[in-house]
Amino acid sequence: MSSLDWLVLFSTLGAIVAYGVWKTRGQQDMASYLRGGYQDKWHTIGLSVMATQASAVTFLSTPGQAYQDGMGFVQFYFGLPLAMIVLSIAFIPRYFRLQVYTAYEFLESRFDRKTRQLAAFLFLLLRGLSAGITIYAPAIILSSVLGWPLRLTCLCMGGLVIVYTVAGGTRAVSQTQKHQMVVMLGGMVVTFIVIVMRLPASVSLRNAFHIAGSLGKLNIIDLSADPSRRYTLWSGLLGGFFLAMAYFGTDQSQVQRYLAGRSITESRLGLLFNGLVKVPMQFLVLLVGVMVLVFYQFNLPPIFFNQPELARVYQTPHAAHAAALEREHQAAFARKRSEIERLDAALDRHDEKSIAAAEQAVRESEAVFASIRGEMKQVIATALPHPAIKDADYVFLSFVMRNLPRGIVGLLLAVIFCAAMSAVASELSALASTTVIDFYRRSLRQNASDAHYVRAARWFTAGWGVLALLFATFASLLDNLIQAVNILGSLFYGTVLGIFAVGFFLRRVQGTAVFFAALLSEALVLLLFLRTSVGFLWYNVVGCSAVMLISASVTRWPGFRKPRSPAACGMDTQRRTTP
Amino acid sequence: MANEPAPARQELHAAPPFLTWTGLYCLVAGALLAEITLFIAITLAYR
Repeated sequence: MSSLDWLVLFSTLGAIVAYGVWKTRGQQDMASYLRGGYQDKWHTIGLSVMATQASAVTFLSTPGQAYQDGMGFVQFYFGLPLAMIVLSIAFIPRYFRLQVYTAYEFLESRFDRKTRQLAAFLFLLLRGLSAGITIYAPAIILSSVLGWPLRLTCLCMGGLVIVYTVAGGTRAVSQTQKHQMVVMLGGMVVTFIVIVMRLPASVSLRNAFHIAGSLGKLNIIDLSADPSRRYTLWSGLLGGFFLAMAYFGTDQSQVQRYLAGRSITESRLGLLFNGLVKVPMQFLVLLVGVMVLVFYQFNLPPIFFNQPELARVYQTPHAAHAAALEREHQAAFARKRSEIERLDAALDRHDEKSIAAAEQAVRESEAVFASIRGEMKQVIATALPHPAIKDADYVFLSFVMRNLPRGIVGLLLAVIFCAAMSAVASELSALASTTVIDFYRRSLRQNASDAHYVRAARWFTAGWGVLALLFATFASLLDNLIQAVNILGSLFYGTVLGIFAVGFFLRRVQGTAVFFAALLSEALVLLLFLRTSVGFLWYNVVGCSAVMLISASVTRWPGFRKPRSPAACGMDTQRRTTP
Repeated sequence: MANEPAPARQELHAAPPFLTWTGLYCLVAGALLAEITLFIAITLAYR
């Protein structure tokens, strides 16, 4: 990396962190530290919500996913705008009316303490694990590509986040995230423009789309009704809706972002802004991956994008085989490039017959090209003791390091660091809030001063940060861990959303009924996971629907039913003063 | 829960600074519909 890149990277990160700390200096009370002092305007909330969701893996993996599998992943986000509308109508007013610090306080107000602490515990478990992964996953890729020690990379990212999150609490998180999100969006737009400009002069944007389409990468919409297919229009709309409802409506790392709003209006506008911008943003990130693919039709790509892993193969007896494959790869690339140039020329002539013939030739040469890459992966798998043969996560960063101009490389690295830091900051702040409000203040120290709880929140933020760092620093089973955290999340989100949905919409259902229904629904989701191949997005639909149906049904049974009285009819009339 | 007074009833029903709430919800849902239509068109045009 050039000195200009280092300058851009460190000045961007330093300026954002310094601004966040300066802007939030001198905060003393809980309302400031845990709810941001109710000062955030809609654009801060919207950008902060987006930055919380966009981890570094979003910017590292998503372009690589588009490079390898096309743009179908964008369907995953189709339910999100609809969820933002429902949350604005149903959830935000109720959270604001109760003046909660955490989403789980609502559950005690509506049901009982055990339901509140069950949901809070599930959040701490899932988010605590994922905070470590949020640091570790990008760190292993960055350290591999940049040649930095893994632990130092984890410490740099995590340490900086802990400092400003402990110092400034929720408001520091929102203030830094606002600027981090601007850097992320700006960085991706700049990258897209640079890639398009680096295509050969004869290749127009329209032709670039056509080439990507010929390679099967513009298959954005899948209308299949097969539930085992992971991303379809229907799973995106319905499963994605339930997932977004659960994530944005019940996950404290998101709820905390919009609870910091200056008013209900600002919080609602912030969520609607997210609903408006999220799908185009993900489309852009995926499109960058597709444009990288088009770029590599005219420029030789690495045979394997995780170059340090490939270098290890050359230290083994399989080096000669690997070198032969690299030569074969270069020859196949030359043939494919000439077919792509024929296609480009045919597109310019608008000659349909030549276009069809050239497309067929491109697909055939691409198949040969892909088979050589596949053979190299087999060599890596044979040659190395613990091989990492999936290289999709390395596609984008490898492209950035090799092909983007000086300064832009630093900006893109700043994007990735910003994404990692913003997601971790939200997680740490939410973990600390939930620990203090739902456990420490509720069950251990009920009547301490505001200053005491702020001090406790600072310590818990630092504690969760150190725990996440330890997890990230000593984790060594990357693939398995990420998979485990993703599966855990999707297994429990539907049930947790169901508990909240019953609280909001089924006013006759009481705590014991919903608790019983949640246990049964969880068993059902686990059964689906263990015994069927149903895509994970559907778990959210099944879990939530099952909690609502079962709790509504068992409420009719003796023992689950309470006499109808104003106090039993829900939160609006039930203004308990839980600590 | 926080000790601050709950927001006034009128704040719960405050109008947005631009358009109406129904208009904003239609805008978000309409944008999604337009995006899906565009994506279907791209899928069909470049398959």
